[in-house]
Amino acid sequence: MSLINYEWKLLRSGYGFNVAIIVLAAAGFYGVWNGVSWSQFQEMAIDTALEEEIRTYSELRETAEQAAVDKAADSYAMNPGLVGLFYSRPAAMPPAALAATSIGQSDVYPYLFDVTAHRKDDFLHQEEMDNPNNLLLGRFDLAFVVVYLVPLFIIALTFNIVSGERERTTWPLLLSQPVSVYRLIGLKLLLRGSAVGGLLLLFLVAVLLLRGEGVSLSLLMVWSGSAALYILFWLILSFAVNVRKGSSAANGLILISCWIVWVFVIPACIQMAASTLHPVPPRSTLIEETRQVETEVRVDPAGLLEDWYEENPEMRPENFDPDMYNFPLFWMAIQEESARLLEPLASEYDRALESQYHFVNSARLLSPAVLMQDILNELAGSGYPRYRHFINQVDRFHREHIDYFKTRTYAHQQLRASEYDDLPRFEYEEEPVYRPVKRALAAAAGMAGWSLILFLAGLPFIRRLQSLE
Amino acid sequence: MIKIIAQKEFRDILRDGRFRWIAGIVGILLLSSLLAGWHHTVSMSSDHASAQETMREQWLNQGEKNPHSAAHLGIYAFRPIPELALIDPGINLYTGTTVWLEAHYQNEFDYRPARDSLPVARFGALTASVVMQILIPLIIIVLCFQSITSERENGTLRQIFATGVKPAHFFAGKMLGTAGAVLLVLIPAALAGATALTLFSVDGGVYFADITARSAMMALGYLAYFCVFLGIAMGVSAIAGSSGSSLLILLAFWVLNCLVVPRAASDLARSVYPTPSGQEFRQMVAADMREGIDGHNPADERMAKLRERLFEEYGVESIEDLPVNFEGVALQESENYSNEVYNRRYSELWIRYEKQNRLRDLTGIVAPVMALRSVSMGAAGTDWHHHRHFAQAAESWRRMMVEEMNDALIYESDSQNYADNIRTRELWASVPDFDYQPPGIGKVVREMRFPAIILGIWLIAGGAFPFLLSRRLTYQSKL
Repeated sequence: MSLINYEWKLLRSGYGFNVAIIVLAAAGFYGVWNGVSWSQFQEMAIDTALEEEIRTYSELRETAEQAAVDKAADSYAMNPGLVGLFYSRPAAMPPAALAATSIGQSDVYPYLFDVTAHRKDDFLHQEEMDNPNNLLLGRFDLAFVVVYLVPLFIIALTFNIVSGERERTTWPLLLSQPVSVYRLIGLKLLLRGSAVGGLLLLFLVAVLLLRGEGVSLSLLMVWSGSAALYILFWLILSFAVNVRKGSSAANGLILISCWIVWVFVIPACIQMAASTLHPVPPRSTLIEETRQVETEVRVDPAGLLEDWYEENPEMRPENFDPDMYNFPLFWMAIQEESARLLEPLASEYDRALESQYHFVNSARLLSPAVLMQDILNELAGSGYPRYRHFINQVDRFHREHIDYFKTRTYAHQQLRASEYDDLPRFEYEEEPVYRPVKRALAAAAGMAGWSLILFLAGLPFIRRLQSLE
Repeated sequence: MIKIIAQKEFRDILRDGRFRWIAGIVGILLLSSLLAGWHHTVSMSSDHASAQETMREQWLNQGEKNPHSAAHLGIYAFRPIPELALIDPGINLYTGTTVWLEAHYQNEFDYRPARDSLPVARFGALTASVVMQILIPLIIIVLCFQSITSERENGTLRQIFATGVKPAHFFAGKMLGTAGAVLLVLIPAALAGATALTLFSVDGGVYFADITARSAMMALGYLAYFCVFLGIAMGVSAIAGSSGSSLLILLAFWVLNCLVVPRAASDLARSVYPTPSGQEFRQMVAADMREGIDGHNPADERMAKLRERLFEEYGVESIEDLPVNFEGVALQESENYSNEVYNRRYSELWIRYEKQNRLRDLTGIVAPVMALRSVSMGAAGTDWHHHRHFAQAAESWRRMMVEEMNDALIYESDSQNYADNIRTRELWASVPDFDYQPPGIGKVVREMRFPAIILGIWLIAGGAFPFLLSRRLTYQSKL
């Protein structure tokens, strides 16, 4: 215990450590604040959409009630085709419990759609508005501090843990102490790692205090454990470099090179490989094809309806006149048919992205930084899997919305005011906690593997620590 | 003497295994990024050009219909991809690639390429600009951090000055030698870039008429940036107590410059100049349309007033008696009103964006990469100003097209009945094709003057730094 106290005092006595801790603390709390701000922004956007939904549908209902009193059969509020096509329902994915810890892709992947009975791609391209320069530069969130900055601080605190003693000629003095040099070096690394780890826990506590509702213990444990594993990885790397007994400058250079490779070069190469091997088709193709299909389908919407009525004769209204122009009815039929014809092409985009995801899931093993970022994204719900989970729910709701209004439109039924309470509404169902936890643990296992490899790589050189030179 | 020192430094660097490794890896990364950038730029550029031609064909061949229906078909305008995007794609990944130009709506740009990628993409794309902004300065740091400290630690510094070499010449020689080594990495990449740009002009013509000037502007920007790092690295090496501390200081500056300040600047800009969410923005526009700007003149009132005005103007008492098509007039009035709404709301939004951008440029005082980024993207045509210029050109075309369609309806209709007013290809062909002309270099230079000045200040400061220190450097001094 006295050794820990002594080492701690020694560490605190140098201004470098104190400055590093203060700077890391400032960066971490700034990252927490940005993450919390973004989550609040998303919630405000969702609340705005929900308030607008209530306002719009209240007005529609009142209009329908008034139209019933006035016996105005052609009121838009009683026309299911017009309501279904032109009055949207928000489908929103609220920020997850730990969203403030990692913004991830949540500023690029949409979290809010205005769903109508139009084709899916009509609203799926909706995106959050932001200055593209901001998006390009990325976010200063807690995940950025953990993935990018924590390794740098660890490198700064440990790069000369052996070489510094040698260069100050205190190494022989250390070896002459009645303490195992392995224990001493291990203690130095552990103290520095613990200081950084302690700060990360403080950041997590700050997030919980500001936005702690609904956070499960398993998420917290995986977050803390993964952060500890990441710190351990960089400590072991530093250990493996230090035991080579190079100069401080050489150690620093090697460590920073590793950081560059794992944090910049390999992730960029993974992304380049993913987009090259599994390219997403150009969106221009989708647009050209969509317009072509729409033009062809618009030629005979009455014919489309006739085909549908043949398959569903019980839905055919008595007064259906194919020669009479009925905009909402025809437009709904056009949307349905063009969606059916475009489905194969539209699916290609999803398939390409899925293929990229599976590729990156394997390739990320090459970089502990990518693994750690994925862990943080999973636990914060800001990664690709949760987005896909949301999109699948939007798909199902869209189908439910179309079916509700299509049935009534095709049957020439009116929408009564009392039916407004039963109109389909989107309710987001969160993934069960075990799924993101499982995905995060898979990535954590990759990091643990790296730590083991590095430790084993350093072991043959460990005897060198005993040498006076 | 400068030449001798430079040659010696150059040879020493080339003999250093670390340089060969680092230069080799960075050189390969630079060439790969150029190749990937060229391939991406060529294919996207070709896709967009082809899609734009298809849009025109679809517009012309849309068949016979009411002009308002044609206005609803509209066209999609595809953002062109300039050749220099192969070096710096700028904000292209985060702006939509296309915008639907149709009646009634000033639509937002759709299909951000970043949305078709995974979280790993946020680590940064491997582009030539990223390699030059982040990795080349690192090479310079690696080459320079112990340039002076090692001489001091080896005891050779005093010997050098004892020969009568002036410190300023010593620094100049060291910097020139290092610059020569860095150029070994850059020259092959520059040749590759020039070849790629030449291939563009052979294949299908260049996008920018002033591409030579833009390329020169970009090259000067990057050279200035490298010189800043050269000067700072040499100066820090001169004043640092040891090679280790020199490396630490320079790496701290590099991290601040390349990593911390860009992200912090972005979040700071958002906090100081917040912008509405997409939902809020769309609702503000919808509310303005419904209720009138500033809450006056809701839509029904506007329509009633229009009818009264036309009746009075033409001395009639019913729509059927009007010599012009009422629906067409109403549509154009509605367009005029909505244009006002969009002008107001989009200009509010874009002013906010530009304030954010200006604040971000200001952080170039602390981190030169922020100033360089703006210059590089501006020269490449992949910055906000170029995007806004394209968006405004597209919107102008949209308004012109809609007005043409409405005018045809208003003045050339035989009937007030929508279904009777059918037009043919002749009308569609009378609308000129959307033919976008990018801004010239003069406008680009005006927009870039602020970050260019900041970069210039850094160049002077960075260049002067080691030479100011050189006055204190003698063979007797502790430096």
